[in-house]
Amino acid sequence: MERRDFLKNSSFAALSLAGVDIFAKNVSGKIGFEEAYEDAIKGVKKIYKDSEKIKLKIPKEVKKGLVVPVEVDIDYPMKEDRYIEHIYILATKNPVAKIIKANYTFINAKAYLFVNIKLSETQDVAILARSNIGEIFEKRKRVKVAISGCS
Amino acid sequence: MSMGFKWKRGVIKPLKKEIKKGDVVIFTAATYHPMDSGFQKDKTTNKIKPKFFVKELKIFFEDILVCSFDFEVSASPKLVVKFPLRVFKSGRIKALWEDNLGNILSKSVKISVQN
Repeated sequence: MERRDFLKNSSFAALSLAGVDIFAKNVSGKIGFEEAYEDAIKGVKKIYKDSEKIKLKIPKEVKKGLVVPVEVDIDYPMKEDRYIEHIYILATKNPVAKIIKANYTFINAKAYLFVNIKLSETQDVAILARSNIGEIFEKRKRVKVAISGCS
Repeated sequence: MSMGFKWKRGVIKPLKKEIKKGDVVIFTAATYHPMDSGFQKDKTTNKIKPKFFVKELKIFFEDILVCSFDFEVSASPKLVVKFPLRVFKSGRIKALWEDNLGNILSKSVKISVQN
């Protein structure tokens, strides 16, 4: 009887702890880099890391991380049957790693994006360009941040 | 922050003035928004400010959706986006921003294309 009670109580405690963890994750509002990255590459056929197709213009260091300009130009055809349909910008150490997802079609005619982003600390900015035929082209650059843009 | 927020400032414009039929034109769509991440404290009340951010920007040419952008709280309050579009005819291009509280801002510009 005592053993049964112990098991019942410990199972309850374990479930409660697990519950607390899940709850904490859900209410925190944070999106980690791994989660954002997995979401972006879901279902892709091939990933080209450190792709030379991506020209990434971003400052090497910034005083304030509140307004960091990012310019991406991807050398890809943009034809009816083959085009870049999404450009993701992710930050490896921001509390919310996901920054922007651009949704394009061939009518945009050029795989280009400029956007201002926030950076919380020194970290890598990752660009993922996803084609409509399941390829991902990836490029990362490190940006040194003196004052956080997220505080 | 969101209580007294009036969303007025925004613009969409092409980067070049003279546009020929078939040109790929870069457009700028810009607005200002608090972009509160949900992690920052209000300096006066010392309470955490709830998330308040632009979640989407849609671009229409003559009321047809031509591209869109999904944001999270890590986009900058000085929300400038530049994007390309091949243009074949004159018409109105419209930017429609929507934040997570359902506020909407719309700005448009008419472009003239030379044949």
